[in-house]
Amino acid sequence: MSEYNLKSDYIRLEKDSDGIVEMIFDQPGQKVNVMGDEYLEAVNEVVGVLEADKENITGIYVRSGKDSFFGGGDLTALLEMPMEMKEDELNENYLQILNSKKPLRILETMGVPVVAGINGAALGGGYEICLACHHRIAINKPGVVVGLPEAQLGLMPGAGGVVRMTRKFGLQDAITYVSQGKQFKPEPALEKGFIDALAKDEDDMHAQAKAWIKANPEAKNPWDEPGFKIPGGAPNDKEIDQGLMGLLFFGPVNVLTSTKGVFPAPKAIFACINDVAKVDFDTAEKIESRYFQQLMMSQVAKNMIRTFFFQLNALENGASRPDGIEKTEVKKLGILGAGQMGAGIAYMAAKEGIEVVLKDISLENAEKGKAYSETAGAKDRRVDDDKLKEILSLITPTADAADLKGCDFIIEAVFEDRNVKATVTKEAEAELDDSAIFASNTSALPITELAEASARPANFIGMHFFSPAEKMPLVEIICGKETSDETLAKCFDLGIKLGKKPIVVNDAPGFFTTRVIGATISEGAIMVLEGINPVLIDNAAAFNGSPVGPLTAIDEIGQDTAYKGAQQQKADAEAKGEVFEANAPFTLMTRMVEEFDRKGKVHGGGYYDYPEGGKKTIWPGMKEHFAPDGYSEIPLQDVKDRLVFSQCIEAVKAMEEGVIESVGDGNIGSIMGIGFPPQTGGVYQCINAYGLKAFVERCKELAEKYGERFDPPQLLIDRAEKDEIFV
Amino acid sequence: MTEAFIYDAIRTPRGKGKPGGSLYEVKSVDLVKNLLDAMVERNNLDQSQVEDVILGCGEPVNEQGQNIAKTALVYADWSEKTVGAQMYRYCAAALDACNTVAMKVMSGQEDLGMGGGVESMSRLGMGAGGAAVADAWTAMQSYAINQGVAADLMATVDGTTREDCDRYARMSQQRAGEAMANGYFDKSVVPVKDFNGVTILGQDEFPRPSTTMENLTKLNSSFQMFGDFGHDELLKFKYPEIQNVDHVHTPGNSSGIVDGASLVLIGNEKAGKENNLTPRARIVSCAVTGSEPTIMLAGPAPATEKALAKAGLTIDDIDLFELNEAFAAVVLRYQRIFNIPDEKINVNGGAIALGHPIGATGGMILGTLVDELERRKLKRGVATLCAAGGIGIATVVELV
Repeated sequence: MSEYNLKSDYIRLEKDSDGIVEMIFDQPGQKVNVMGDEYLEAVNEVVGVLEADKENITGIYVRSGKDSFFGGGDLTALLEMPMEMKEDELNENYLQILNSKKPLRILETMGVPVVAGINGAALGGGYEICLACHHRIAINKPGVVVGLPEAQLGLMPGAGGVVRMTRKFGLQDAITYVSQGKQFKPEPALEKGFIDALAKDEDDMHAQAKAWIKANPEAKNPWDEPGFKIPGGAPNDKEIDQGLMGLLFFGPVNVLTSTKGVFPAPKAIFACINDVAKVDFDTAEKIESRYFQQLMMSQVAKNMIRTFFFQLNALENGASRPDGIEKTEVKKLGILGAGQMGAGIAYMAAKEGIEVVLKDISLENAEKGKAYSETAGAKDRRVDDDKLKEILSLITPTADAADLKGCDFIIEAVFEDRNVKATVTKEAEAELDDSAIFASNTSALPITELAEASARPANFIGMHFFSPAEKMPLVEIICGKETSDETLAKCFDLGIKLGKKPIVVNDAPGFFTTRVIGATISEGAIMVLEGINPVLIDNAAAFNGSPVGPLTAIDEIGQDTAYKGAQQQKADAEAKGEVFEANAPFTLMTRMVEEFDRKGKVHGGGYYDYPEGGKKTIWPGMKEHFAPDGYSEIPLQDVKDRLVFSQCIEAVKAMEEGVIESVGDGNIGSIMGIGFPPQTGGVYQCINAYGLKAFVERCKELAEKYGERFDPPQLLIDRAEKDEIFV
Repeated sequence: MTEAFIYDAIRTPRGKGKPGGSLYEVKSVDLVKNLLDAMVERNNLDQSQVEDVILGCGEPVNEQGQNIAKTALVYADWSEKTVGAQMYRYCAAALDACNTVAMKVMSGQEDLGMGGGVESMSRLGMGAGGAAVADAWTAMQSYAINQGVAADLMATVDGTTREDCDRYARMSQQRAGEAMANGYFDKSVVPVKDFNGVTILGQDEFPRPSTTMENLTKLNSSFQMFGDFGHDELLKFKYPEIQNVDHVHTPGNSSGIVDGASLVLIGNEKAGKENNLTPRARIVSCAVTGSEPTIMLAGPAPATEKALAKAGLTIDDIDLFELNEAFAAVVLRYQRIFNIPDEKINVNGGAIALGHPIGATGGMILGTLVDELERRKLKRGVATLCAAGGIGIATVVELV
């Protein structure tokens, strides 16, 4: 029925008797439409054809022939983009970026009304297409979502999205929406102005689109009207209001301090939005192209795309889950221990509709644990009164092990004490069916040893949640020697059900995450003992992109807790008849606790003092006791690298020893579990980004200067020789 | 090389730089005209002999905009042969205007010129000229912090306390008060008059000589707010060993916001003789240099070292120092670096008491230095200022 002859079959054109042309994106051989070379070829051809025929066109209705609207840019291509190009290649690449915006601009200014019909996800490039239209209608159904999430992968919109968002929403809102990568479902999208109308269903959307076209023959976007002013004003206006003034003055400072300068995307987006607000549309598109190109070639974007897109997708699709086992569902979950961790897990599970038995040694304790759900639910924006009632109705607090009958999965979250764990394991198992899974939540106790208390070690597994459990996105699943594939699969499925990213590791002291973070905490302690300024140590961590420094971390955990752990290690070693060698953390914790009574923040202070109502300051005793003759001076870069390299080396050793097999799990676990700098893409990608050979060389330098713990592990040396990156 | 001499150095009194200040009603061009008229009258000067006039200005926009020097020359009906230029180098502008005129003379390309500067802070305010670092991308590569936070950072790095700063500020006030009471500034201060000849302001009006430590202690920090809004965190990019910034600077121990202008007549020996002028001091050497831009205010010491080295002198050869009192911590650092006793520096007070009309101050302290060397019958002095971007400037003079 089309009267247009097109070479490309990516876009179909269908014209009705009123002269309205439906422009339907339907990329052959793909589940979703992707904005790559084929898109460009098609859209260029189509706008040319339409432009030539515009006298006979009443309007254009842009929609998708798939279940979703549009999938966005081609990330595989971006990942393969070289980071350095020759000048002519750079120029050509820039022109490609610039030219890719042109068809949308032609469509927008053709002189006929253009409406977008959004039937599914319209994210990134997909929403940029919608922005170039004059009117956006979305079907109000699950799965429909709009927004520009590029920043979450270290990128920014590059198809006119920044230019149009700035003109549509003004600087402040555009900066928020674009740099945070906000996505909205239909109703909030309508409220925020991302879309202009809701439709009941596909037919309603088509009808509304055509009606709007007929009613608005002169449609234009506001920025193409004469005398257009950016909402809220532009930086080079003669008079600017206080809000914009504040944004211009403090905005750049906020971007730098909140990102520590390690995330290029928020910087580029903030500056680009400022810059495009000062010039005309065509010049603005040039500026957007330059910032986009800069991010596209950045190492950080590659890190984030690899880890947060490809590896995270693989993880969620079960790359580390054993194959050939049906998806499982937990019906009744028993939780042993109603402390903060147990209570948090109970809340999460009940929120997902799982029946929970929350057991503690007294009913009072168990009830206290249940009450935590009330508080957490009240704070949770996604939980209304009815939902909260449902959550609470699903949680049964008890002190009686008999109530665990019928549970098909147990998560044990009692104290980190082998004996207590063994006791509750036995007590619970007595009430359970043979098929029930028993998961122990521990951050360091070996699972195989804990499984000795179990009559069914094949059903025994480790499930390391992070505190606060309902907020932290990671769960580390630890397979003991005897743990079966079925057990792992069930545990993995529960992790996903609870909304977590499950990583899978094998049993060894400290598993993966505790071991890796231990390395940087230990390095912090070594530097304190070397007499390095403690402020510099924590600030260096911050400038690496770590959310907390190694010293602040210990203050939060408590020197007393770390001290007990260290004493336990000593006792364990001595019990096995081994000679215990006091390492730096052991020495430091012992002095802090035994000599100085500095037991941590909750005990009134650790490395830091916490004056009431004031900012924390380093305890003066740090200098007095650890650097009486003045702080040792080493290059800042060394401090920064020691904190990061220690973790990367430990992670490689963990891989060498078979503790972890999946690079993606290691990357995601390090970022989401223990605060490894996210812009690096994780503990392994960080090595790729540095360059394997360069990383090995730097390890050697650090080993020479600071100790053999920085010696590059053999696996790293081997991979460096073969140029075999960690993927 | 030809020698450059200072033949005269004059300034307006400094008026409070806000509405209600005595010079608020006076335009910048009139501040300059007052000095141009006085320069002719005091020296019986043939205008046409002055080849160039370079004036510093901190906000060269609007009525102070473009080239205020030439504007004022034309407005004052000065000789058409005399040209003018505006000099922008933040707080270092007026001293650099004088240095530039001196360098033209030393190079032999000009014989007689004038340097100085003008600033109406009451009429233009601070920031009227905008700034490149106000641009987001530029700002994000520059790590620029508020200048007052930079001064607080300097105090924190040096261990300079609020009490040290307040004590210094009180001394500045007392010294300025004594200098005014004893008429030490009378030689150089030219009253600002209206076009009918009625005096608008005859003396500096900013000092509060009776200031006590108690008064100063009560004042709130001026820059805490900037620190809290992110500047304290931003500076850690450059100063990662800093934990918390001690916001010691207040309106009491920072330079005052004032209006004023300065003008210095500089020429070679021949021009002096031909115009019947008496040389007062020789400009021995001068220097500008840069220092770390985030802390911003550390330039005076390296600039002084550079200027002294050019002259083959050491710090011990200098009898008096005039270091602009931008902030108390700046002076205290300079004294500490060179081990300069209070008795040798800013002996008649400084900008904390008298005020700091940004683009004009350099010419003022140069004049004050020459006056005081003469009064004390000493030989050599250094005038120096810190300026934004880490700029430092210094000039060494020697009485003839």
